[in-house]
Amino acid sequence: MTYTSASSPADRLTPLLGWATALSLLVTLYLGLGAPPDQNQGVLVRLLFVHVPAAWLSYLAYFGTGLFGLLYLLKRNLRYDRLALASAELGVLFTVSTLVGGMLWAKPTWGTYWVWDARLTTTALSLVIYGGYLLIRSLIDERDRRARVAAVIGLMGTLYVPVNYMAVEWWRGVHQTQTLKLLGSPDFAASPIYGWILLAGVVTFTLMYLYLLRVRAKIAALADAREEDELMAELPAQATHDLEVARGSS
Amino acid sequence: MTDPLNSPAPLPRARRRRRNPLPSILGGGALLTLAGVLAFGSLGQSLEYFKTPSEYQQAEAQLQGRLLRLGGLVQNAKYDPQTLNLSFDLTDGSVTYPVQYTGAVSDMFKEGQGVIVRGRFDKEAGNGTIFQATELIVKHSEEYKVPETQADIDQLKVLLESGESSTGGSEGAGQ
Repeated sequence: MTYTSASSPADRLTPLLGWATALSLLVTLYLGLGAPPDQNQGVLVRLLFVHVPAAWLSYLAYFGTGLFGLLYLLKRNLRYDRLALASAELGVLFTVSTLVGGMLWAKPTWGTYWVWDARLTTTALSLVIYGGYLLIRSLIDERDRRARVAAVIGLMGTLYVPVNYMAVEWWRGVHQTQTLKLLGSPDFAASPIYGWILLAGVVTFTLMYLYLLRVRAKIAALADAREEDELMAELPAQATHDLEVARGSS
Repeated sequence: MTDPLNSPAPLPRARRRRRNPLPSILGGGALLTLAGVLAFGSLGQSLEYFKTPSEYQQAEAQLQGRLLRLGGLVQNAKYDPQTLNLSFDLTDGSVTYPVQYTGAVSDMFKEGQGVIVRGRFDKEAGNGTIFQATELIVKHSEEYKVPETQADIDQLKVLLESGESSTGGSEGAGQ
């Protein structure tokens, strides 16, 4: 409801999410930098608390793009399309941060910034999928058609999430398998202290996702409203009048 | 002029704002480049990143002398930090091959560690029985442990002190 026009009632949830994000970010930063060093990699283990939550956020965002796309197809409300767009952009942004953080971690441990193993390659592939998603959006001028096409791509793209998650199990590679095993019998293969800090990181990044999602969707709503206004202004006065009549009758 | 506008049919939504095509062109170019790099960088090879020594032994006739990756555990490692010469045995439990490598080695490299080496069994050097590696990647496990016994704590102290100048420096400043 808050997204439908620029002059909607004040949005209380977004600033609340923003402050919650900022606060939990500080807490995670404090906990993360104070984490005890790991037996084998020493302080490098602290990258875990950025790398994993960033990857989690990108999964969440890509899943969100598919979900909001599906909701758009069902309800035909552009609000969902704007949320899908916001989610896709966040997915790309945090995939890049996952890759950069991971590369900085890989150099001192694996001995190289990059390897073409299944996990890393499929992660890079997501940039092609969702870069393509954003590119195709930019090529379609007609608003409803843009939303429809994007929804279908967004839905198909969601397949990336399970493939990327399972890549370390399905194919031999360099990347470690999951520390937190969710398939089969759940198990956390690290000291409990790391688990708690990781949980703080994941909660923080989830809040950050929700906050940024709402902010970006709001901006998209303003952009849509402006585009509509400019379209109206370009039309001659007579046509505008008739358009209003036509709209009222439909 | 005013007549056609009175028709009840919905008006065409023709006059959309012209968008600047430059971002789309740049974006498209970047995507094509990325897709090309992905295709040539990895998809030409198998999705399986390396072969085990046992797999190599089975396909030795075809693979002899070819550039490939072998993965396994480190045994009998000998490293000379002066000449950067490293030699060790790579094993998967049943089959073992000697490996030779020259270059810097990650701090994570140690006995029993999983590693992946890229290179070939070269006929000219070591008459085809020693794997000449040009690339060494050290795998690490998904387990992260705070040291608990005194021996582990001492081992970590050594690691932290050795890493102070390279990896530990920036971290220490951030605290």
